[in-house]
Amino acid sequence: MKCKKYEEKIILHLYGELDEKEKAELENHINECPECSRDFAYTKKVFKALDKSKQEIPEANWEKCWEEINAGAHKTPSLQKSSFFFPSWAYAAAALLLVFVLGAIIGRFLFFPGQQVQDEQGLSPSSIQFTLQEYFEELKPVLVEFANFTSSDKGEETILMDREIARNLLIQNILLKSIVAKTDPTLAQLLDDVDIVLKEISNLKKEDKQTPSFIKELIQEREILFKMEILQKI
Amino acid sequence: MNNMKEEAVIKQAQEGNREAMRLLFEENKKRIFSMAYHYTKNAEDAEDILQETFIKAYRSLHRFNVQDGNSFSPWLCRIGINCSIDYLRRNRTRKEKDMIVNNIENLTSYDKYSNPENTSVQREIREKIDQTLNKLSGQQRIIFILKHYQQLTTGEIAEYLDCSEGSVKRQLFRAVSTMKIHLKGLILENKYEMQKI
Repeated sequence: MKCKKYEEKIILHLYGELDEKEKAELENHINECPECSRDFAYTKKVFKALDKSKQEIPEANWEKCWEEINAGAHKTPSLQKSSFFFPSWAYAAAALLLVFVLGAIIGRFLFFPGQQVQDEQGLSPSSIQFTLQEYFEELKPVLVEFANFTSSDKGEETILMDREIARNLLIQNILLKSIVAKTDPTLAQLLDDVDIVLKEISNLKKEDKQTPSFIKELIQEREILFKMEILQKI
Repeated sequence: MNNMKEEAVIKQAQEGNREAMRLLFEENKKRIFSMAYHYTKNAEDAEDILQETFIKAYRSLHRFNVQDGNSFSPWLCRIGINCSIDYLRRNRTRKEKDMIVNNIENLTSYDKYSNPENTSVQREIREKIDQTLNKLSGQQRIIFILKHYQQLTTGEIAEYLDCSEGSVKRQLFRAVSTMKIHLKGLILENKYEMQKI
């Protein structure tokens, strides 16, 4: 049986990683131990075979690579934000939702004039909180899915579904943001971050391999799920 | 690029200067590409990894602290290593098929003037090495590539991977031991004349 300690040292020696003292100790041992001596001879052969198998590195298309990098590196969330567009049905849905929200606010004034309304937009903090809780409940599974993204390819159907869900959530996000913008800057900031994430998901394409990881990083870096958790507990 | 110059270039790149970004690309492209090529054995995949590495690096360049005396290359290499591991994990099945095709293509690409018996054994060994590389864990594989093909020291690899030198040595030992086991039949059966290689 080979001596375990020297088995490792033989490899390090062949890689030139031993100092003079260790080298001398190993050489002495190899001279005395026939098993390690055989292992040393065999390891040297393996190293030669490995060296022989080294392949020449081909030349990459550097210019094409640089163009791709240049385009990709400058595709930041803020830039994407400006290039983002909604499909026409989304504007119609947003308008409809806005009519409902305004209807609910006006209705409260008309039918419950005595009820205390604390918010300047006509919504009490408790009703905002309730709407927010419901919104977070819908949003959370989508964010968790991307936060746990593990590099495996997403299927076409999953991407289409994610995109549709994200677009619906995006409309709610815009409305909520407009409601809390002046009263709660912390929440508005969180909704801003969510906005970027949802826009990325809304524009996701199957062939785009980098965006899911980028979304994952965004969720983690901006601690979106953690902040949502805290807000839900308040 | 000396340290002072590198620091200035990174600062300019952090401000979005494309010339500076290009300079960092030129300085590091070959190292990252070569590592990715050894990792994937495919030039197109290696180009993809190279691009992914630099895109990720530039997107998070604002978090790189030049003042602390950090060197750009190990930081970039760390990103490259993660990209390589991720890339292979994503494309493992396809890669395995490619490897078979590459091995078949290699059958015709050997030097026709060399000893046919010898080239056949060399080919077998090369195939075995590729197969064994595929069997190593992601970290063992990258350590083996950085040591054997990139000729970095274990200290440098530890810095690149942000782990201890002892851990690098242990993983390297395991990787080479696996190679030794898988090549044993080919080398010890006297099929392979070491003097001729």
